[in-house]
Amino acid sequence: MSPVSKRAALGVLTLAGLVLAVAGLWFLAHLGLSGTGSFRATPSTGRIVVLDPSVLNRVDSPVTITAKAKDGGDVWIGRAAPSDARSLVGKAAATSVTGVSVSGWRLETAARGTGTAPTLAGADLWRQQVAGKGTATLAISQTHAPETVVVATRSGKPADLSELTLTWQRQAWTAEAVTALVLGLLLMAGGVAGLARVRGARPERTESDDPTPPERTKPDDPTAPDTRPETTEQTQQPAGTTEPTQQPAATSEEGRR
Amino acid sequence: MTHLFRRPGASSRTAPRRALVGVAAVALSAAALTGCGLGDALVGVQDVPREVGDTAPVSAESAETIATRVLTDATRAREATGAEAQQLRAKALTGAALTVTSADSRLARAGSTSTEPVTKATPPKVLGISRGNSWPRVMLVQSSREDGRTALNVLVSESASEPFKLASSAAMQPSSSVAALDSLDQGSPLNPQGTGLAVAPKALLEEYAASLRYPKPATAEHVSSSDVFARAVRANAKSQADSFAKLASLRQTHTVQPDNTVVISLRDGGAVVFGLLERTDTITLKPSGKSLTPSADFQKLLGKKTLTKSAQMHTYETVVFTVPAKSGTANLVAVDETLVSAKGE
Repeated sequence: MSPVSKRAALGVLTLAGLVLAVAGLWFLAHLGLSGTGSFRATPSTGRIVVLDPSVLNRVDSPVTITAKAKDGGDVWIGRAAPSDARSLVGKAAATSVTGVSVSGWRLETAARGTGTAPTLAGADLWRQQVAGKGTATLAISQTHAPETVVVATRSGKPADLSELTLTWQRQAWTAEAVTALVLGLLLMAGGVAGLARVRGARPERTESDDPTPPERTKPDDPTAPDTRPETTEQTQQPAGTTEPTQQPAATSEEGRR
Repeated sequence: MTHLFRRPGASSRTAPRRALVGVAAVALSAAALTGCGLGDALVGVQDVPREVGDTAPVSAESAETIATRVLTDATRAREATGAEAQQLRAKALTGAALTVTSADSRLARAGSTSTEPVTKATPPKVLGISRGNSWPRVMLVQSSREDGRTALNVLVSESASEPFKLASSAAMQPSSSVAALDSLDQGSPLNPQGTGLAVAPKALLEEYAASLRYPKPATAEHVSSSDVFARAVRANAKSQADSFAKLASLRQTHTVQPDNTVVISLRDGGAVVFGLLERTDTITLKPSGKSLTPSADFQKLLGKKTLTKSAQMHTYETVVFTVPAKSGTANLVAVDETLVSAKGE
């Protein structure tokens, strides 16, 4: 491999290591040692909030939903089978949580439907309901997935939420972040070391750079000056010995000049 | 002289190309790995699990809680009076139970031969839950009455927004039993058409109603009409007619109320059928009779001491049958009757 190719590859390696290390460090800073990732949103007023299985059940880890109402208002959270929630909520005006954005650690939402929802708390289809003044929290274990969660007030009217938070906890995320950080640092170190080594090698000669042709010497003329280039390699000669030399065949001096 | 010494592989034109190829290969490899879902695998993202629709829609624990609430509310609704009564009944009752309870409560208390489905302190026991995610949803619940008798109750949720309400209730006949239903987690299928049963629910109720008729009861082929209730109804009718002697005649009919029929499957392929019959007793004075003095209870119901022309009484009969699969005879296992109206002149 030529030195240019080597430098290019090592440069890519260093850059990749840097990216990996930065990513690992960033995730580690947000997830912490417990592997807890929280995503937030402030849903628009006037709509109940619906969290579908496409968000709640994509990761096989417990997820906690926390809803905070403005001014200590009522807030109610219920979880049910997706088809049951769909049958009850119908086409009522709702804010649907469609996904999460890691870059900003926020929930992605979309508005759908029109009209008011029926009384929610009185239906006999909820697997679990929680309610509170100002805040309510519900945890999902994934045991009965898929499930849909609805956030509103007991009467079915939208809750005036100041914040909605979904929190997942997965220890593997922390391990992966640490691995990425360590691997990235190793790649960086390897790349930098490799680059330094390539730069420390003797610069190469080419035809166009060296106008002076090397001196020609007769290999067998013992009286000619030694024009051989110096080499860094040396062989260690044992003490008491002399380097053997090739003895030329008997010739006359006139024949060689 | 041509330079003989040349470093192997050295070329001023191909080195940058090889570097670019190397960088591109690394980038493409990373992109391929990402496209293969390596990112999702690292994060632990999976496909959404598929919803299962062939099990019970509520858990056993939820069913017990619902049953306790409904039967408690039903008791309160039956005992309520005044303006509050209608609201409580609408909240707790539906179907046959609402029909029966909404009738003249004064008459019901005065003339009823039934005991109302009052739940004792013993918590109710859920025997079965309908299977699937559709509506209506049904629960079969066993409860204990104040007189110690066991009652069978049907709770129905008509839609997603409608909670479960008491739809029908009847006291079990002595020595009767109901075969096992499927587990509460699995759920029991509803079978309104009676597919695979020895007799369709509609035909069953009509046969039984005809076998209670007075005079001239019909012979039932697919249902036993020798149960305690049937014998008592026919005996009472004959006794009443005999007491009128030549003064009046008695005619008794039993009419099926089809909208109140609920059929829930048993594990062995049979079914439990809840139905509602309306009994009409018509007393008509004969030309030879100028007036008729009814019994004290009847006088209280009519608000009259004598009859000069005719009288009519309406009674709701809640009946529960077990029906075998394919062939065999259906049997009455529970029944309740409530007098709902009486008039005469």
